[in-house]
Amino acid sequence: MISFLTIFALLLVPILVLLIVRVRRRQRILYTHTFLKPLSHRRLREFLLRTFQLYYDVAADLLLALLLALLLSGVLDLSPRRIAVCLDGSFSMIQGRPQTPLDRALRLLAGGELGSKPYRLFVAGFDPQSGRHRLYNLGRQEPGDQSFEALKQRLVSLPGFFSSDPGVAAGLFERGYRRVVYLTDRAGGIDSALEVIEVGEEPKSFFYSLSADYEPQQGSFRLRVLRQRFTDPIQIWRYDEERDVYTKLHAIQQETASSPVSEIGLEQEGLYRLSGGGLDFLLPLSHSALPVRAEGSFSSLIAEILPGVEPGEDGILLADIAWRPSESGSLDRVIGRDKGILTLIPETEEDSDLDLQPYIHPLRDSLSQPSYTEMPAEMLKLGRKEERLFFMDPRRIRDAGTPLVYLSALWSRRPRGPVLKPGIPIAGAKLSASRSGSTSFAYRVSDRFVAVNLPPEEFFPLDRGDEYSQPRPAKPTLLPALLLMLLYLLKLLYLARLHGRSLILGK
Amino acid sequence: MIVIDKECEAVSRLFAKKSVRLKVPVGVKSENPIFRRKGSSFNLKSLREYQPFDDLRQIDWKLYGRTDRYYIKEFYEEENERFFLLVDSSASIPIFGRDYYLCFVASLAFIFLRLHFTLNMLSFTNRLESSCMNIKEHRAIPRVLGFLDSLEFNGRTDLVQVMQTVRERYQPTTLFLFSDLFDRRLTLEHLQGFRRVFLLHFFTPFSSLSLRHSEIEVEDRETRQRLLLPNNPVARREIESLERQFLGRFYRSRRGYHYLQLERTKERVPFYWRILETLYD
Repeated sequence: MISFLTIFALLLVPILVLLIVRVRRRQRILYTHTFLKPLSHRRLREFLLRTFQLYYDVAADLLLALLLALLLSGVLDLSPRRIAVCLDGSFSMIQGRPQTPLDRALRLLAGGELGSKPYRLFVAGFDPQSGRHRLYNLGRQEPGDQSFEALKQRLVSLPGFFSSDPGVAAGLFERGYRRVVYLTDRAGGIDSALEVIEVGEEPKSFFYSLSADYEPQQGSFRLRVLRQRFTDPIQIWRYDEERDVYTKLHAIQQETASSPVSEIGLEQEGLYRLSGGGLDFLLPLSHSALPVRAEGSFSSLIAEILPGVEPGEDGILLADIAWRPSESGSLDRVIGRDKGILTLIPETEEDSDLDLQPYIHPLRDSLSQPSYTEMPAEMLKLGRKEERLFFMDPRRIRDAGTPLVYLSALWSRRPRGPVLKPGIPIAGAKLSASRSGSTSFAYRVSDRFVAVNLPPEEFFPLDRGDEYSQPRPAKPTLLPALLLMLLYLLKLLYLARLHGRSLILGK
Repeated sequence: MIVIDKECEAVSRLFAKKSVRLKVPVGVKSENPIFRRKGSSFNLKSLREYQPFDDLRQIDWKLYGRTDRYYIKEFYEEENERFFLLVDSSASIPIFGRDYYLCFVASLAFIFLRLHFTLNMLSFTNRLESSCMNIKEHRAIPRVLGFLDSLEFNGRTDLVQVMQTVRERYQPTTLFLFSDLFDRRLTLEHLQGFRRVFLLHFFTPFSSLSLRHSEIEVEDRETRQRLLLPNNPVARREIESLERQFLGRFYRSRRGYHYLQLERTKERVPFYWRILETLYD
C-alpha cells in the first residue's frame, strides 16, 4: 500500500506547480504605499485574512490533498466503528459434554473478554420457515452486562441452531459494522475478514446418513450410515400418513460388521427418520424413474439399458439421428437456442458430403465447445414440445463413450433429490412440523416432501473457504465524498464571496 | 521633453486684458512703510529737500514755484506679487507621469510670467533640493524649462519638513504646491502661515491601474518596499476606502486654501483657467 507521505507528495505536485506559475505571473506595479500602508500594518487577524484572500484556494487544495492522502492511504478511516459479535448457529455449537461450544462462547461474552466497547449480538443460524440461513439479532449488548445464564436462556429460545453460513455473518460488514467477531466451533476456511474465535471441539460420537439408493435387483432401498464411535442401534421410524405420526420399525437388520459404514435395507417407500444420540435424519424414499420416449433402434436400446429410466409417453424424447436427410429433406442449422436439444454429431467422414463437426448442445454440456450444428430438418420436427436428446449410432461416430454422455444428460434432468442441504432455496416449500424431527426439517413441495438434514460440515471438518460467498468489508465512500464536496463547496462559496455572483454565474 | 501647452498663450492673453492693477493685489517687499523701497508708483513715500546727490528730474517744480525751495518727492516701489512654486521631485512622481506633471508646471509658470508675476521656483523631496529665484517676464521661460528639466525624481517626500523650511526661509504669501502629496504626516495645519496656498494634487487612483491578475505586488519607489495584495472586489473595496480616507484630508473649504486634484486622464487647460479665476477673484 502506498504510504500517506507518498500520496500526499504526489498530490502536492500540481498544487506546487500552480503556485509557482501563479507567483511567476504575479503582476508587479509601481504605486505608493502611503495610504496602502495600513494594509500591511494592521492586526494579525486582518493580515491572516488578507493572506487567506490571496491563498484560500491553495489552502483549500492543500486541505483536500491532505484529506485525500489520508483517505487513500487508509490512515483516516471514516467507516463506522460499530462492532458485531456473531455466534455460529450450527448444530455442532450445541453439542458436547459437559460443556458445549456455545457455553464457552457465552462465557467469553459474559466475561467481557471481547473488549470494552458495546457490541451488537447476532446468531448466524437457520430459519426453518424459509429454509434459508439468516442472522438473528439479539440487540445491543454492553460487555459483561449479561450473565451466562441469561444469555443462554435467550439463545435456547431461538430456532436457529441447525446450520450456519459464515457468509451471512460476513454480510454484517455491508451493514456498516467495522469489526465482526465470529465465535465458532470450527474456524477452518472462514474468510479472514471475520475476526474468528474458535470455541469448540469435535463431537465425539455421532452417526451420519450417507446415501439411500434403490436397488432394482433386490427391489428395496439400501441406506448407508457412517458411525463415528457411535455403537448404539439407530432407531428407524416411518411416517404413518393415516395416523400422521412416526411409527418405530423394530425388525430392521443393521449390518455393522467391522466397517464404520453400516447398511440398512428398507423395502417400502415413504418418509423415514433415523434417530439416535440426539440426532435425527429424514429420508423421503421413493422409487421414481425418469420417463423417456425412444425413437429408433439405438435409442430404444439406450432407454432399455440405462438405469433410472423407464418408457413413458410424456418423457424426454430420445431419437436416432438419421445420417442422411431424406430425398426432399434439408439441413437445418441449430444454434444453441434450442435448450432442450442434445446432439452429438460425428466427425466428417470421407464419403460424406456433409461438412459437419462434432458438437454438443446445449453449451453447458458441451464443455465449452462451439455450440451449433446442422442436422436434418425432419429430425427437428420430432417432439417439439418435449426435451429432446438426439443420438448418433456409436458405431458411426466410433465413440463407445457416447452412451455415457447421454446418461449424464439424463441424470442431470432427474428431479432434485429429496434430501437437501440447509440454505438451498426451495420454491413453494412449506414447513411440515409433524414430519420434522429435532435436527431435521421436512417441507411439503407441491405433492411431495423434501427433507433438510444437518449438513456434513456439522460433523466433518471441511474447508469451507470456497463454499461461502463472504463479501469483503466495503469501505464507506459517502462520508469522504461528502467531506470532499463540502471542502470544494466552501472554496466555491469563498470565491463567490470575494468576486460576487458574477464570477460564478458568468454574468 | 517638456512642452508648454499651446493654449497657454491664449489663456494668458485673455487674462491680461483684465485690469491686473486693480484685481491683483500689489505686493511689496515690506509691510512696514518705513522700510519699503522707493519706486515709481503713485504712492507717495516722502517729501524732502533737495540734496546734491539727488537726481534733478525728481525735483518738484510746482512746489519750487510756490515756495522757491527745491523739494524732492519720493514714491514707493511697485511690483507684482512673487509666487512661490514648490515642485515635488520625489521618486513617486513618475507613478503619476513625469511628462504630464512637468508640462503642467511649465505651462502654469509660462502663464504667470506672461501676466507679469514674479516666480520663485523651488524643488523638494524631503528637503529643499534646488531653486530658481526671481524669474520675471516671459523671456525668462527658458530658465523655467531648464530648471524643470534638471529635476531628478529621487528620494522620499517630507512635506512637513519642507513646508516648515519654506515658511521660515522665504515667508511666501502665495504658494503653489505641485505634489502627489504622498506624505502620510501632512495635514492642513502644516499649510497654515501662508496667505494663499494652491494645493495641486497630482493623483493616480488605484482603480485606474490596469490590474489583470489575482495578486499584485505593489512596489513603492520611495521606500523601496513591496506589498502583496489580493486583487478581488473585496480587496479593491478596502483599498478604495483607504483612498477616500486619504483624499478626504485635503477636501477642506478655508479662506486662502485651494485644492485641485489632477488626474492623468484630465485636460490641463481647465485647471489653468480655474487657477487664474481663483487668483483674480
